[in-house]
Amino acid sequence: MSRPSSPPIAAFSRRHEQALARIGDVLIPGDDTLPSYSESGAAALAPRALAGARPVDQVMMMRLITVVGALPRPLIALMLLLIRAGLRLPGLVGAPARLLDLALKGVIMNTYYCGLDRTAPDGSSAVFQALDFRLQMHVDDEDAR
Amino acid sequence: MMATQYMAQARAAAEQLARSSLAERLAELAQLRHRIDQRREAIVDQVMAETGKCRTDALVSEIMGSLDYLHWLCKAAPAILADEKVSTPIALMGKASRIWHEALGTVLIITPWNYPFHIALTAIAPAFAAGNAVILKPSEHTPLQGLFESLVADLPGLSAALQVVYGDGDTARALIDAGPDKICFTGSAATGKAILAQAAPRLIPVDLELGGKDAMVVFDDVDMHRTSAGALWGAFTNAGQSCTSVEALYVQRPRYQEMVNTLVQQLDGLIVNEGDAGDADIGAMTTEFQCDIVEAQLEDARSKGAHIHGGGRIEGTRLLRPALVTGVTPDMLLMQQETFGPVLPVLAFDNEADVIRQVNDSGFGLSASVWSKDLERASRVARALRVGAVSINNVMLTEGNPALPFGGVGASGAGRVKGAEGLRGMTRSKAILIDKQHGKLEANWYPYTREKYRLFGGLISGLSGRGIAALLRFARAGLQLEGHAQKPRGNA
Amino acid sequence: MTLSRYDYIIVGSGAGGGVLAFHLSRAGKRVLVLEAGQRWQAKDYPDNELDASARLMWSGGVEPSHDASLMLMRGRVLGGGTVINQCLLDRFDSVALDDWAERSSIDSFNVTALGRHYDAVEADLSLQSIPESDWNGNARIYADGFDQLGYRRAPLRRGQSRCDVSAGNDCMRCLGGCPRSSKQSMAATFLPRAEQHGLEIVTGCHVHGVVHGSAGVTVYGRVGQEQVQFFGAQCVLAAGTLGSSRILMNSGLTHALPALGKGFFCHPQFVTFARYAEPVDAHRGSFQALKSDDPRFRAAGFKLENVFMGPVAAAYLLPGGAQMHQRLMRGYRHLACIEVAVRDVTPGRLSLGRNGQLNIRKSLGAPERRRAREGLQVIRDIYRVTGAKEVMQAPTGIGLHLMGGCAQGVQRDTSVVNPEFAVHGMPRLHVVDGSLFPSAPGINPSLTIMALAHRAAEALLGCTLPSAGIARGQSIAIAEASA
Ligand SMILES: Cc1cc2nc3c(=O)[nH]c(=O)nc-3n(C[C@H](O)[C@H](O)[C@H](O)COP(=O)(O)OP(=O)(O)OC[C@H]3O[C@@H](n4cnc5c(N)ncnc54)[C@H](O)[C@@H]3O)c2cc1C
Repeated sequence: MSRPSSPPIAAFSRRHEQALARIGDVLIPGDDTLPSYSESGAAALAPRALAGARPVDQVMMMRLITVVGALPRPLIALMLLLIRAGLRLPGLVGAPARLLDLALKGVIMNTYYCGLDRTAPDGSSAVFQALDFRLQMHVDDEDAR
Repeated sequence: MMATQYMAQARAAAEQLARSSLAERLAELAQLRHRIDQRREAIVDQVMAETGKCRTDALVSEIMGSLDYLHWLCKAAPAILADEKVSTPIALMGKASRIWHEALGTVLIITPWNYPFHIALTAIAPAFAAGNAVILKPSEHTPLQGLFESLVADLPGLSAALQVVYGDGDTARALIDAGPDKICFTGSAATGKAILAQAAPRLIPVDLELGGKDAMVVFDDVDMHRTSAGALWGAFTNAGQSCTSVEALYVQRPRYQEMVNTLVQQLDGLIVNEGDAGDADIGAMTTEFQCDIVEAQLEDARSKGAHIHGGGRIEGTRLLRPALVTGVTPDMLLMQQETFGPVLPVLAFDNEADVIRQVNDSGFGLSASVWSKDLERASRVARALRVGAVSINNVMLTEGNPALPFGGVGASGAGRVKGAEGLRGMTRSKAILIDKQHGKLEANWYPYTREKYRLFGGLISGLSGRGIAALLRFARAGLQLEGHAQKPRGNA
Repeated sequence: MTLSRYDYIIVGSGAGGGVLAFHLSRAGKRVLVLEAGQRWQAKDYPDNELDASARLMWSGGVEPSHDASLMLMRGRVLGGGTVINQCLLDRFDSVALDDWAERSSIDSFNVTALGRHYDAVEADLSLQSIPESDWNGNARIYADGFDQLGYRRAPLRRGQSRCDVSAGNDCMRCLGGCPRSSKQSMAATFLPRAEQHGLEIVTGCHVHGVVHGSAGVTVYGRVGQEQVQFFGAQCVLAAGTLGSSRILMNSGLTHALPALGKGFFCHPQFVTFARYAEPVDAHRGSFQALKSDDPRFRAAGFKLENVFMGPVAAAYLLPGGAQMHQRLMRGYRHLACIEVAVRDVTPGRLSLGRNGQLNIRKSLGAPERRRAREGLQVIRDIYRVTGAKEVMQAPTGIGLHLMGGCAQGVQRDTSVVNPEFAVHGMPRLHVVDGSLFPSAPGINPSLTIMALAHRAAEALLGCTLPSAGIARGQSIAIAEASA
C-alpha cells in the first residue's frame, strides 16, 4: 500500500539543460580539440549525475542552474570569476564561493569529463579523444563474480 | 495466611479507620502521591519488567494518570464525602435532613495485568479515602510484588488499611468467600460473571469493569492528520491492551481510503520494542496467551478474506507488530470478541444512523469516540451510543480527567470508578432525619381516625394544587391535623 | 506470522561491518547486514566517474564540511568504502597507538596486542606490494624526487590478488569498484565468505535509528519508500564515522552520550599537480605505487601520497579559468600529482542540523595548516628537481579517511563506546567501524578498522577466534563440501 515517489531531479527539463549548457560554455568554451560544453551534449547527463544527491540538494541545484543560466553570458563569466577568487578565502567567508564552485563546476566537469559523450566522428567520446585518455581493464567471466 | 485471616485483619483495620478523620486519610494519600512521584522511575522499571509495556506508556498511563487521580481526589474528596444537608419537605416542617457517606468496611479489589499500578491505585485510594480497609488481589501475571506495601510503609493509616494478597483465581475465590463488603473487579467478562455469581448468594455488591470493543467514529469533515494519529494511538497504546482501546475504526465512506492510506504510512513507522528508554512506541504483550488470542484472531480474519497490513510476532519475544485490518466482515472473530492487542480494523459507514446501529450492535458498551467538525452532530451521535463514555474529537480522553466517572454498559460491566460517582461507590449513604425533643405527637401516628383521613386528603390536595388558594388549604388542613394529632381516639 | 529476530544486526558493510559479519556468521550466529548502498556484480561496476559518484557514493559524490574547505567522500555500496578505496593496507605504529591508549585509557591499544588481530585479518586477505616494474611515470617522478632530496620512501602494500598490470590493466578504474574482483574489497572477500555461512544481507536499506531494549534492539529505516524495522538481540553500528554517529544522534542519544560526534578527524589531503613536457601517464597501471616513509615526515605530522585521479576529479581540482583549464586538461597525460595528507589534531564536530541534516564542523587549525605547508614545500621541491614546467595547487582540500565521532574509551565523558565495543550504558548496541578512532593515526585506516572488527568479534562472542587464515581456508572447504 506504499506509494512510489520520484526524486526532485526527475523534474530536470530541457530548459534546465539549456541553462546548464550556457553556464558550461563559459567554463568550457571549447577549442580546436575539445568540444564546447554544449557541443558535447553533457548537460543532458545532469540528472544522472545528480541522481545520488540528497533531494534538497537536487532542488537547490535546479534552482541555481535556472537562475545563473538566465543571466547574460558576461555576467555568468563575472560570477564564475568571483567564485574562483573566493575559493581560497578562509573559513566561512569563503564557504559560499566553495559551495557554488562545488555545485556548478562540480556538475559541469562531472558531466563533461566522464567520457559519456558520443560526439567523436567514430561515435566514441570526443572529450576523451582530446585528452587521449582511455583506461584499460580486461575482465573475463571468471573474474566477474 | 488464610483468606479469612486477611479478612479479619481487614475488619479490624476498618474499625480502626472509622475513628480517623477524612483529613488524616487524605494527608496520607498526599504523602503517597509524593512518594510515587519520587520513586517514579523505579516504579516504571518494575511495571515495565512485569508487563513488557514501553516506558512512555508506563510513565504516562500508570504514573501520571495515578498522580493526577490522587491530586484530584485529595482536592475533591472533602466536598464529595462531606455530610450532606438536604431539604426537608414542608409536611415535615421543623425537622432537618442529612446524608452521611459512610465507609462500607472492607473492599476487595481484584485487578488485571494491563495497568497493574494505575487500576489498583485508583481503586485503593478512593476506598481508603472513604474509610475502608482494602484487600488488593493483583493479577498473578503482574503482581508488582511488594510495591504497594513499600509505598505505604510507615503511613500508619494506609499501611494498616491495605493488604496485598498475591495469587490466582483460587485466591480471589477464597477472599470472596471470606465476605468482603464490596468487590471491585476489573478484567474479562467471563471472570466478571463468575465473580458476580459467587457474590450473589452472599449479597456482596460488585462493581464490574469489563472489556470493550470500543469504536471510533470518524465523519468526513475531520482533519485527517490529527484524526489518523489519534486512531493510531487509541488503537495501539499499551500494545492495544486497554479495555477502552480503539478496536473498530468507522470512517465515513468518502474519506475511508484516505484514512487507510494515511494509517498504513504511519503504522509502518511505529517502533516496537521492550525495555526501552522512552523511545519505543509499542511495547510487548504482557502474556503469552494474549499473543495467541491476537494471532488467532488475525489468522481467522485472514482466512475469511480480510486484508492485513503489518502484524506478526517477533520470534522468541512477546512483541507484536501492529496490524491494520481492512475488508472486515461481522463473522470474523475480531469483530465479535475483544482483541486486546495491537490490531486496528477499519470499516466504512454511510451515515449517522448506519454507524450508530453498527456500534450499538456490538454488545459491548465501554467507551467510544466521535470525530467531526460539526459538534452538534458529534453530540447527537454521542447521546445515541450505548456506552459509558464518549470522547469527542479525541480518543480515550474521558479517562484523562479524574473527575469523570469510568464504567461501561451491557457486556462491558456496571458500576463506576473515578469521579464523584466512583468515590461515592466506596461508601454507602446513610440517611439521617433530625427532629427535636418535645411533647407533640405526629399527625400520621396513631390513632387513625376518619377525620384525620379527611384532613390528610385535604393536605394532599393542597400540596398538589397550585396558587395561593391551594397553599391556604394546605395550611389550614395542616393546622387542623396538628390539633387532631394530639387527641386520643374517641375524643374528636 | 513470525518475524525474524537475529542474533546480530550489523548496519553497514564496509571495513568494520564486513569483517565482523564474517566472524559472527562463521561462529554460527544468525546475522543480518543492512546496507544503504546496492549490491553489484563485479563486472557491472560503473566504468565511468559520473556513475561511480552518483551510484557508489553518499550524496552523489562529495559532502562538504561546514565551511566547504574540505570535500569528504564515503562509499554507499555493499562493501562500503572498501569498494571505492585504493585498498592500501598499513598497520599502525606505536606513535598512533600510544596516543590512542592515552586518550582512551585502553591499554590493549598497542602494537603487540593489536598484532594478533592484524595477523588474523591479513591472513584472510591477499596482500601485495607494488613492484618497481609496475611503476608509471607519476611513480617515477615521485621516486626520483624523493631520492634526489634524500627522503625515505617505500613500496605500497595493497589488498589485491590478480591485477595483472603488466597485461595493461589500469587500476584507477577500480575507484569505481574493481571489475576483476582483484582489489580486496569486502564485496570480494569477507562478505561472500560470510554469506556461505548464512549471512543475510538487505541492500538499499537506509537505517534511521535504533531503539535499545532490555532483550534486543529495534533497527528502523527505509527500503526505498517503505518503512522497515528489524529486530536483533544485538545491534552493531558499522555505518562509518558519519553513518554511525548520525544513527546514534537520530536515535535521540545526544544527551546520553556527551562525547557523541566529537573528535572527528579526516586526514585532510591537499592535491598538487605538476605539468611535465613529456607525457607522464599517471593514470595508467598501478596508479599508486609508493609511499613516503620518512621519519621526519611522520614527526612533522604529514605524509606524501603518490596518487592520481580521473579526468572529472582532476578537472574539478585544477585551478584557473576557461583558457588555463582547457590547456591543462588537454595536457592531462602530462600531469603528475602528489598529495600531502595531514595527520589532523584539531578535532571536528558532527551534529544534527535543525532539518535533520548532518553538520560536519571541521576547521583547519594552525597545526594542520603548518603541516600542510611543510608537506607542500616538499612537493614543490620534488617537482622542481624533477623538471616540472608548472605547478598547480587545488583550491579545496579533500577528506577520505573519515574517523572518530564515536570514540572508544573508558570514560563516558570522553568516549561513546566502551572497551568491549558496546555503547556506554547500552549493552546490546555496539559500534565497530572507523568512528571508534580516538584520534587521527596519520596512517591508512582501513586495515586497523578490520583488525578492530576482529577484536570486536571476539569481545561479542566472548572467545578467542581460531588463528589466522581460517576465512579463506574455511570457504574453500565449504566450496568443496558443497561440490
Ligand atoms: C577514495 C577513497 C580512497 C581510500 N583509500 C584508502 C586506502 O587506500 N587505504 C585505507 O586504509 N583507507 C582508504 N580509504 C578510507 C577507507 O575506505 C575507510 O576508512 C573505510 O572504508 C572505513 O570503514 P568503515 O567500516 O568505518 O565505514 P565504511 O567502509 O564507509 O562503511 C560504512 C557502510 O555503512 C553504510 N551506511 C552508512 N550509513 C548507513 C545507514 N544509515 N544505513 C545503512 N547503511 C549505512 C555505508 O553505505 C557504507 O557501506 C579511502 C577512502 C576513499 C573514499
